[in-house]
Parts: sequence; structure tokens; C-alpha cells
Amino acid sequence: MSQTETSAKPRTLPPRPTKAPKSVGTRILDFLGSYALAMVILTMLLVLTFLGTLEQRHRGIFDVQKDYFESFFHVCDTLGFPIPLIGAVPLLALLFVNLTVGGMIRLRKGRGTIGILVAHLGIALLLIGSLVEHSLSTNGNMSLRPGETSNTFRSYYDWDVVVTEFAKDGSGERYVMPHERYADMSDGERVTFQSERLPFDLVLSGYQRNSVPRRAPGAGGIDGYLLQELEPEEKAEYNRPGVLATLVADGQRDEQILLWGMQTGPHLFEREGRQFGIDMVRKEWVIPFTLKLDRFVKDDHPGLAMAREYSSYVQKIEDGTAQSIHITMNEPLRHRGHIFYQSGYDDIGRDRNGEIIYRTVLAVSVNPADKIPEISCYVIALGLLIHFLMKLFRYIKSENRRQRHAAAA
Amino acid sequence: MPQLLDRRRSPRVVFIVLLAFALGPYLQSAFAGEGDEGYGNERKETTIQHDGWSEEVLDTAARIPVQQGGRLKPLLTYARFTLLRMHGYGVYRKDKGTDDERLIGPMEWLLDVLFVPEVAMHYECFRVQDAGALIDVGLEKLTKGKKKSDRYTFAQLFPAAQTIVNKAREYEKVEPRHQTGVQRQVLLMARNVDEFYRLMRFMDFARMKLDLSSSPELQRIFDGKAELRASDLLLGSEALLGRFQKLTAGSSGSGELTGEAKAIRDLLGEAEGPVSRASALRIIPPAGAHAKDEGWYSPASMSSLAPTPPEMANLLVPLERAFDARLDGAAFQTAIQDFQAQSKKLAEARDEYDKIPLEVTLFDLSPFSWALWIWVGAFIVVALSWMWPGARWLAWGAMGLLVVGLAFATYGITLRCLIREKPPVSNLYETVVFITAVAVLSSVITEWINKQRIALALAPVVGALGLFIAGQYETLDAKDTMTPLVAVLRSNFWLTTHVLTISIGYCAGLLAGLLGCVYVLSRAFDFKTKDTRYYTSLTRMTYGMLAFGLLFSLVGTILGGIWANDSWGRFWGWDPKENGALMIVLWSLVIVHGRLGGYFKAFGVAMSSIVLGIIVSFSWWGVNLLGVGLHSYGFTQGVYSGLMTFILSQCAVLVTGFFWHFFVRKEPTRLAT
Repeated sequence: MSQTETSAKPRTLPPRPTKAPKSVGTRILDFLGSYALAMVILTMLLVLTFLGTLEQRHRGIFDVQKDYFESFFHVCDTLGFPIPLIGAVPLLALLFVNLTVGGMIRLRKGRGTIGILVAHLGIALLLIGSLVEHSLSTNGNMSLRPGETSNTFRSYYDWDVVVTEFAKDGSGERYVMPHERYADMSDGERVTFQSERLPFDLVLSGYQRNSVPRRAPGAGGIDGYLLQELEPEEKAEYNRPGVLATLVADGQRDEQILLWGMQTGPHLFEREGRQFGIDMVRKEWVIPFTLKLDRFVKDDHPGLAMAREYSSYVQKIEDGTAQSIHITMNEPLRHRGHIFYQSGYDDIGRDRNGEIIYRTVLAVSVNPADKIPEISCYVIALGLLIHFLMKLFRYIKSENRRQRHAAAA
Repeated sequence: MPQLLDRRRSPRVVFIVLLAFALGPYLQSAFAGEGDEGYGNERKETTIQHDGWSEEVLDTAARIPVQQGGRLKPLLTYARFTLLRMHGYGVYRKDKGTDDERLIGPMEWLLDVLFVPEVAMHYECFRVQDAGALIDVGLEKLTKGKKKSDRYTFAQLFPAAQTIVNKAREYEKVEPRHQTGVQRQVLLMARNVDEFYRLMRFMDFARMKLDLSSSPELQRIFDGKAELRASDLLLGSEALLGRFQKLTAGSSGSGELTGEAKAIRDLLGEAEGPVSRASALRIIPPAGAHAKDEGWYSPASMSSLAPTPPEMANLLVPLERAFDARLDGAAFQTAIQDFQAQSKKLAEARDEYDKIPLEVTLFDLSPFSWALWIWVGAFIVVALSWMWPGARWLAWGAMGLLVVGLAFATYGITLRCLIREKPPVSNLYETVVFITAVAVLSSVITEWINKQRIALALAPVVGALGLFIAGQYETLDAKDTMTPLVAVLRSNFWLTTHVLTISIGYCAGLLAGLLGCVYVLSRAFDFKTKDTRYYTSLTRMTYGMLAFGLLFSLVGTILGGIWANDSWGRFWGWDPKENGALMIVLWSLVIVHGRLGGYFKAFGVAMSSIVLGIIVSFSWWGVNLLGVGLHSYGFTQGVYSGLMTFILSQCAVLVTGFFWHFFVRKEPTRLAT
């Protein structure tokens, strides 16, 4: 047989190895860690953020935040037609899974991907920090006049119903009906609070997030008044809630009381010879030390009614020891898990010399994840720097090579 | 916003305008006495012959320090932005339609208003952009024969001053974002009329010459002077009040004053009006017993100091001399130089003068204008290099011009940093200048690396366009671009880290978008179709810029969160500006993942980069237009049309790209390829 004949013989290629079919679990992992999923999640987050931003033209940031960025699902109509949106909570959870599976676990490890891995670690840390902050942080504010001391701070948005039993010596025992227990009640719903130590049950109904008492027509209402619902304020901290409290004793309606956030003091009543007061007040938290405002300093730009700087000189009093501290813009006080920021001030009158007296407003935050964003920022920056510098050097190298070849040609 | 929006200031404005009405007859007679017939709609000829100011006078006056808007600045800066706000241009065409027609600068305009108001009141320097505002205040007859947006004189607007103020008080209650165009115009008109009026009357104290010839007792107090000027009165105020108290000691205060005491009271009453009207300019540095005051004084506010420190009162003397010599060039120059020298000396004693010459240099030299024109020149050279591709010296020439323009821009930015003692970016205007400079620098570096002449062509376009936008924004906003910062921004550390980082992120995102445009338009118009190297380089540059932008945007956004955490107690508040930055990061990540996953190839990267450019423009300018959020200190009106023009132009490129891709392109492939 000639060589020609031999060469003419059709060659048979070895069969290509067939890929083993992927298991369901592998496919799920492929999907969860895929670039496509990452793109979809990021795009949906982008759309959500864009619409949530536009919505702020008409609604307060607090409400928009609740609907868009702290929700599972929301129907947006800011463009004039309904757009169903997946909320930020599931999207961020899915993003975490995606970057963990695709960006860390299944990422091809090597010198070329070390930057990507580090950056993904930083983003995962940032997401964890956000979750911790969202779940565990507490925010409020503390207002102090010069010379005033306080060991509590109050919520911006939440209002508790508080029943106080006054003892003969002037002290009082407080029974707190927390905001989260009644604020979500629907129309017609009632929430009952009971305590063995109280001679009555307390039933709350008709909660209004923002309201004002108005004189009731005719002989209706409670003591001639009704709560009129108002549109929520653009700044949610300015809302004035109200609720109808009913005292029930022995299963019988005893007395009805209108509670309103702006009332000047508790409604007083007597049962079984005991003195009680009931009030609706901003939720309060106690801190493990005391702050005293020595002085508040506000410095205006010359000739302008615009503050150049304002700050509070306070004393931190703890275990009988006082320490002077200066809290100023961008320089908060951090102590025992509590952070105090110089957030604002109120003009509360004038002293004998005609000088304006200011009340300082310190924003207070208890946030276990306080430092996580900072750490994750360094990690992400490091990761991206490693990756992009490697890419840049490679690019410069290839350009130089190309230019050398072009010159040689 | 206009002063009228500041409720604390409204009564003052109303007071002044009411005062103007009360003093209307005086005003008219005062001007009529010098040849003016009143405030008719027709231009009235004045008999004052004023030929303008010498260069020396203008240069000296420019360096007079004045405190305004919370900072000390040269009078030139004040004049520049006041003329911009009222007139809409930084120069005024004087004697329009006559043989003497010429352009005058802001300093000359201000000196005219201060020293020859009889002439300046007929300058058509009040721009009204919507004639509806004139109809709204009852000046509809002025609109006859005029365009919808036109210019008017103070004399024409003054008869409706009361109506303007009343309307403005009504409109200031409307939230700015809900105000109509007419309402905004009325508010601006009220502010401008008020300020022009106060400037016109500023030198009234220098006009004042009180006759003491009939009162020998008063002459004795003032060293035998028969004629008393405001400076004499302030210098002798302590003696005068002492004398008055001595004369009235023991009296109950309820009886009629007689004799010398009555003469003193009448004298003070007569002086009160002219002196109290000198309130527009705080040009008197605190001195003597008031040296520790931070706020400077106007002659009016200085008169309330008892006693007035002589160093301060003496400053009025050269101003009075200047007013007397306003039609005598040489004497006026000497008087103005004396005043400038005295105020400079007092300012230097307070360590406040050193920034004044720097700021005058900044505005006199106009480094950003130089940079703009040099970059226009660079673009012309680049265009020539396209015609003669072999002439490498043209490319080097263009590169040289780019670097020279960059040097001018850097010089301007450095001057601003020195004047403000701040990092380069602390307000919206500065972001434009800084981002433009960084964009040109990035392009120069890119060109230096790949030498494809793509970045070389892009750099002068971006540079010139950026500085043109900066100039337009300055004109449109017509506010001092070096205003003091709100308390939260007074942190050089965070301004340097967060603001610069995020600005560089914006810059890279915009450049990526523009490179994407170049790619798409090149494809659509069959430019260098066979040159695969050209398209590969474009894609690499776009992607490189995108990656560069992602790094800075992401880190900048998180740094912003950390700053917010330290300032406001929360890392992230879903504020519009924060959201804008997040959107840039999210879309950049989409592109990067699309590229890595093979969903975006060259064309896809280009198209998606154009979208990134749109998102950057929304984040940079668009969110400010929403007028909500904690970052709204950059809020300005009137940029909407500019922003929409940019976005629509980018959308047009996108549509062109899609059209080319689906209907024109020869080889049908997926969008990604």
C-alpha cells in the first residue's frame, strides 16, 4: 500500500470526552455564582436606587427608605404608572450569596485574581456590617441645655405609651407600652396591655402616625375632642402621633383617653385609691453614664447667619468621676458602645445680657458595626488597587511591546 | 437665594425701600439738581460729564478689601458677581448706540454706581429673563418693544419698587422648588433693585455737608469748622455727646430742647439719614477698641459705635475727598489710593489682607480662560494633525499645548486653594474645574502610554468643554464661587479624601462615556473601519477608564459614608447624592461583570459606558436639581436645560449605536460582539 493510499485513509479522531452531566446542586451553584445573576441583581439595585431617589421629590426620606430600601417588595408609582420592584433586602441578600459563591468560593484562585478576591471579601464585610447595623443599631438624640445633665436619649420616630403610678413620696413606677407593639395596628384593630400590678387593662386603638386633636362636632369625641389624621411630614421626626387609650376594669370600659404626642403632660387619673398618669412620649433609652453640658459654642461666619462651627463642651460623669470632653462636628464622642455626634442646636431664648441661649442636640447611636464600613473600605480599596495596578502594568507592558514591534517593522 | 428670602432680613429690605419712598422727593431733587429729570421710561440725559476711570484707579479700587458673604474679598470680586447677577454678563456695554460705546468691566461699573449714580441709574443693567415678571409688578408698559428677556434701567424699575417688594415677600413663602419662573424673576428683581439702590446711596454720607455757620457753639466743638462732614461728626461724636449730656443734665427729658442742645439734636437728626444709607459695603476694618471684632463695618454700622475709633472714622476722609473729586481724575485717584492704603494697613494689622492680591490676580489673570483658549488651540492643532498624519510635530505641538493649558488650570486651582486654605474641591463650581483638569491629565497620560492620538483628540475637547461649562455655571449662578462652607464641610481631611476621590470617580466615568461615544460614532460613520488596532485601543482605554473610575467611585462612596458616620451618626442615609454615587458604582460593576462574563464585548462596553456617563451626569448635577437631601448645598437653578442637553445628546449616540448595530452593520452578530 502506497503512502498516498495510506494518507488518503480517513483519519479517525479519538472521541471527545463527554462532560458528565451536572448535578442539580452544581447547577444551582453555577446559577447563584454566575455573572449573569450579578448583573441582574446590580441592575435591579440600580433601578431601585434611581426610583427611590426620584420618589424623594414627593415624600420624606424616612418613608422612601422604608418602602424601597428596607422592604422585600414595593410597587413604585413615582413615574405615574405602577412598577413592581423587588426591595433592597432580598436583593442585597442575593448579592451576598452571589459574591460569596461566585466571587470567593468558586473564584479561580491565583496571582491574577487575588485583588478580586480581596475586594469581594471587603464587599461581603460591608454587607454583613449593613445587616448588623440594620438589625442591632439604635439611633436617637439627646438635647441638653447649658448646665443640664442626662443619662437617656430619645428616639426620632418611635413613641411609647407610658403609664406611671405615682407613689406618695413623689416617685413613680413606669409601665411602658412599646411603639413596635401597637404602631402597626390596622384600622379597627385593638391592642390590649395587661399587668397584674395594674388595676385595669389598657386597650389602644385608632393609632394615627401624624395627627392633631380637633374639637368634635356635636357632643361626640372624647371630652369633646377627636384625633384628626394628617399627611405624614416630609421629615418623619416632625410627625405627631396620637392614639385612643381605653381603660378596662373587670371587663367593662372604664374611661377613654386621647393621647397625643404634643400634649403638655400626662393625663392623671385615680383607680382604687392609687394615682396614675398616662402619656405618649418618645421612646427613651438609658445610657450607662451621664453627660452634662457645660457650654455650647456657635461661631458664625462674619456678617452671615450661617454657622461656621458649633460644638459642645460636656462632662462625662461615670462612677463619680467627671471628664471634660469636646464634641464637635466630625469628631464624635465614642464611649462604651455609644457614639455622640454634634448634630444640631436650638435657640431657646436669651440670657440677662441679651446673649442667645442654645440647646445642643447630640445624635446618639449604638451601633456594633460602627467600624466595619471603614475596615471594609480599606479592604476593598486594597483589593481593587492590587487588581487594577496589575492590569495597568500588563497593559503598559503590552503597549511598549507593540510600539517596539511597530518601530522594528 | 436672594436676601429677601432670609426672613430676618426682609424687614430691613422693606425698611430701605420704604425709606426710599419717603425720601423719594429728596432723591429726585438731589439728582434733578445735577441734571436729571426723574425716573421716566425714556432715557434722560444728564449734565454730568464723566469720562470713566483711569487704569490706576481701577487697579487700586479692585484691591480694596470688603467683607461680604461671610468672607473678606477684593472689591473687584464683589463687583464682578454683583454685575453678573444683575446684568447676566461680566461686562457692561456703556453708551450703547452712541459714538462713545464701549465695554466696561465690573470695577468700572461699580465705581459708576457708587460715585456717579446719576449716570449709572440709566444703565440697562437689570436683566429680566421673563417679561411676565414686569407685567406681574405692574410695569407692563416697559415691555413694549422689548424682547421677552431684556434689560432695563434702575430708573425704569424704581417706580414699581414697592410692588416688587410686596410681591417678593409673597413669593418667598413658596418653597424654591415650587416657585414659577415669574416668581423667581420677581424675587431676583427685588434683590437687585434693593442692592443697586443701596449702592447708589452708599456715598450719600460723602455728599453731606452740614452748615454750622449759624451755630458758633457747635463750631467750637468741631474746632471752628463752618461745614461739617460725616467723618468730622464721627471723629467728634464723643465730644458732641458729652456736650449734649452736660447740657441736658438735670432736665427731666420731657421738656422741649432749646439753644445748643436743640442744635446738637437737629444736627444728629440731619446726619442720620445720609450716614445710615451707607450700608451696602462693609469696607471699614474693626480697629481700636473694636479690633477684636470679626465682622467689618459699613459707614452706617460704624456710626453706631460709641465712640467711633478714630482709625475707623478717618477712613471716611479719603472717601469724602474721592466723592468731591469724582469728576477730577487725578484728585480722585489720590483719594482712592489713600483709602486703599489705609484700609490695607488696618487689614494687614489683622492678618487679613494677604489673600486679597491673590484673588485679584486670579480674576485679573483668568487662568481658566487662558486654559480654555489654549485647549481650543490644541484641538485645532490636533485637527491639523489628522490632515497631515505624517507630521509628528503637530501631535507633539498639540501635546505641548495641552500641557501648557493644564499648567494654567493647575495654577488657577492652586490659587483658589491658597485663597480658601482648602483642598481643590469644596463646591459645585470647583468640581467642574477640578474634574476637567483631571480629565485632561488622564488623557495626556493615556496618550503617553498608547500613542494612538485618540486621547490626544479627546483631551482638548473635554478640557475646553469643561471650562466652558464652568464659566457658564458661574455666569448662571452669579454667586461668589468661594463662599464659606457649612459647618459639616469644614474638614480638610474629608474634603481631601472623600470629595477628591469621588470627583476623580466622576471624571473617569465621564471620560469612559465619552470614549464610548467615540467608539460608537466611529463605528456608525465607518471611521477607520479596517483599523482593528484603533478599535481595540478605544475599547481598552474605555475599559481602563471604567476600572479606574470604579476604584475611585467605590472607595470615594464608602469614604463618604464614613464621613457621614462621623458627622451625622449614620453610614448611609439614602440621600440623593449618596444614591447618585451608589448608582455609578452599581453600573460600573454591571459593566465589569458583563465584560468578564462575556456578555459585553467591545460594542457592549462602549454602549454601556455611555449609559455610565449619563448616570454620572445625573449624580453630579441631576440630584442637586431635586432640591432635597443633606447634600443640597450644591443646589442651583437653571442647570436643568444644560443637563438635559447632555443626556439627550448621549441618548442620541445610543440610538445611533443601536440603529447601526441592528440595521446597518454588515456582519450580523450578537450585540455583545
